[in-house]
Amino acid sequence: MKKILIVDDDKIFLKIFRDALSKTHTDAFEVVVAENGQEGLDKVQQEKPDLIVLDIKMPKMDGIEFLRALKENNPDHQLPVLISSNFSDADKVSEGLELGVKGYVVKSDYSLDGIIERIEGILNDNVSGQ
Amino acid sequence: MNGELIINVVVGLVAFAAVVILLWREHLFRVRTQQNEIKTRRKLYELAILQDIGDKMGYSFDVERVVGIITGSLRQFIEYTTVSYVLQRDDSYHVTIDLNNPVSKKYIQHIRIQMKQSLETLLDREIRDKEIHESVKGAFVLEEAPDEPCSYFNIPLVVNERVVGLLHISHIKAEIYTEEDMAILYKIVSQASQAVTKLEHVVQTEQSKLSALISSLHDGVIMTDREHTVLIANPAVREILGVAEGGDVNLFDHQVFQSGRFDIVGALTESIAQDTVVTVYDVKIHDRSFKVVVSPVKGESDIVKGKILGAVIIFHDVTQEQEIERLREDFNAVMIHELRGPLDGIKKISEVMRADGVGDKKAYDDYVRMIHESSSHMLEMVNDLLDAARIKADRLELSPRPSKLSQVIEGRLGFFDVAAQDKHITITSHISEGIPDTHEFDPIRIEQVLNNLLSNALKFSEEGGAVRVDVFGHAKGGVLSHEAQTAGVEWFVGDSEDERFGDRDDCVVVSITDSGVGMSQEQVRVLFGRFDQKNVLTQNKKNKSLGLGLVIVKGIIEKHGGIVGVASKEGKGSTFYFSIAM
Repeated sequence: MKKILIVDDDKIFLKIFRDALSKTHTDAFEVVVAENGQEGLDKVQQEKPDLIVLDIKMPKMDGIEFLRALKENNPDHQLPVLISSNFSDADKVSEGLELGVKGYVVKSDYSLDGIIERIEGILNDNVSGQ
Repeated sequence: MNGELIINVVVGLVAFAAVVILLWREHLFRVRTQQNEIKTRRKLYELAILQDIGDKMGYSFDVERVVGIITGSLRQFIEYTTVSYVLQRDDSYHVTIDLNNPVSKKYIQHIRIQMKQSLETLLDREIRDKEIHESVKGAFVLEEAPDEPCSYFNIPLVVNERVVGLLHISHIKAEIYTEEDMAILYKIVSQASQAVTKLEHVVQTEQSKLSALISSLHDGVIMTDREHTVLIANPAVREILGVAEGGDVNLFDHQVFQSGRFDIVGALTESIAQDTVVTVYDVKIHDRSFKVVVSPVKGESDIVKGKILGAVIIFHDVTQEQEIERLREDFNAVMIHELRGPLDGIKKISEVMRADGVGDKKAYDDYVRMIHESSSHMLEMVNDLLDAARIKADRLELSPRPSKLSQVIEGRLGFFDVAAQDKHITITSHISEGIPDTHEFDPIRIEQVLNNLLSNALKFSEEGGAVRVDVFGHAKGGVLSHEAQTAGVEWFVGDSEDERFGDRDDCVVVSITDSGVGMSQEQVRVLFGRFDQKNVLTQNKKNKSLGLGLVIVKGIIEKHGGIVGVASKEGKGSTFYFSIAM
């Protein structure tokens, strides 16, 4: 069972994403959530997730700041990150990609299943890559 | 008989006398008419000459040219052997002697002495020979020609109340010039001088206006000649380039132009060679961005008409515009993000519901509640955007009517009760006694103001904090801080706002004070200091929200004729307040 950390302040997204995962992938994933970047960093330490689904715009510490802090704490971390945000401007996308994330999905362009597929894809790549 | 004779003689004498008188009168009349005719003719003549000279002069204010024109026209109305003039130029005197008929060297020597003496008298100083440059033109100088001017006269040339030279006319014949001839010439010369004086004034005024204009321009301006030598550099461009006052602006030396970021010499060369305006966008000079326009300068006067004399370079600061443009892009990105969020939420909820069916009652209720929340949130945002746009265009409509302020406030406190309890925050209201409760305002809009201020107060207060709403009266001429103290108001507003309220008519002041993190002085200043576009957009960027709430609050209160303000103590909390006229 893979552990996924979702760092997102959108309570509705958190709830339905969890619901969707629990319906279709009950045995495949364990989901932990954090509502801002700061909480996310703590959860990375505590929960040791296999993958992070990261929002950009959050209070206290946003997604970009989270990525920088993550890199600072552990420069060689191999933890795959998928950004899922409703920002679609090129600046934000490239800023995220420069920080070494595995992918960037604009939430409204993907269905929940679509996002889950991306997560599975990244996890499989990681497995085959190792 | 005798008597008859006497009568006849007397009658004859009277008749004769009458005839004589008549004739005499007619003679006198004729003489006068003749004199008048001569005068009129002279006057017309004078005018014609002046007209002619005036036409030729155009708008020239070059004394030499004017004198040249006068001497050239002289032949039309006066006989002369020579006409000469001397003009002061820089530190020397330039003498031109124009011979109408051949004269001898000796004759010319006479002219020279006559002019020099006359000029020395006028200037009241001695002129040394080496100060004088001379040229002789016209007819030949012949030894056998007359060697002494028998008639001559001088007319001083005065411009701007200063003697700039002398006109000299001579003739080989004696007593040829009448007083009148001289008077006419004197008149012509003095009128021409006056014209030149006036033109000089005009040109000087225009020039000083132009240089004042260039100096006062916010844009940097450099004018160069064809060889790229700087002729004019206004204070703005010195400031832009960082050249000290009095320092030289040199296009080749200046490090800004040498850095290769902006090829000023290339732009100048292109502009001058191809007679075209060259515009370079986004030139970076010392952390600022400029639009630089290089435009050729063409001559206006006859000789240089249409010729390119050099170029003017204008530096227009676009730093702020660019910043606003960037902030606006950010704002748009945030706006799209904010609208997309709830919309996408609704879409995804329906996705789950469709896959799931509506089996579980609790799940169903949750989903419906979430759809309602998302759509309400989005609707609020759209309304805020519309209100902000209306405020920006000054098209916010109010429906003021007598309304009870306490009722509106209590209603809002009730509305926020649940949200406050969730965060364990207490909200209390303190309405000062003795002030009227009913005022003329738009209750829906004031509700909106309170919604924005209360939700901010809750958002920025830590769990377990307190929010208080105070209402008290301000009387015209009263000191706000004293009035607040008397009313027992607890807020973060010091006496800094006293001045703003001093002369205000009687009003009610409503303040909302939180126990949140507070703001720095800089944040406070930007927040309500000047609600310009840049500040608003900067705030939005910082808060990563649309940040329209305060724009709307300010718009609504100001439309009511009230004041809005904020004061804060970092780490302690903030107070937002507004006034409503009593």
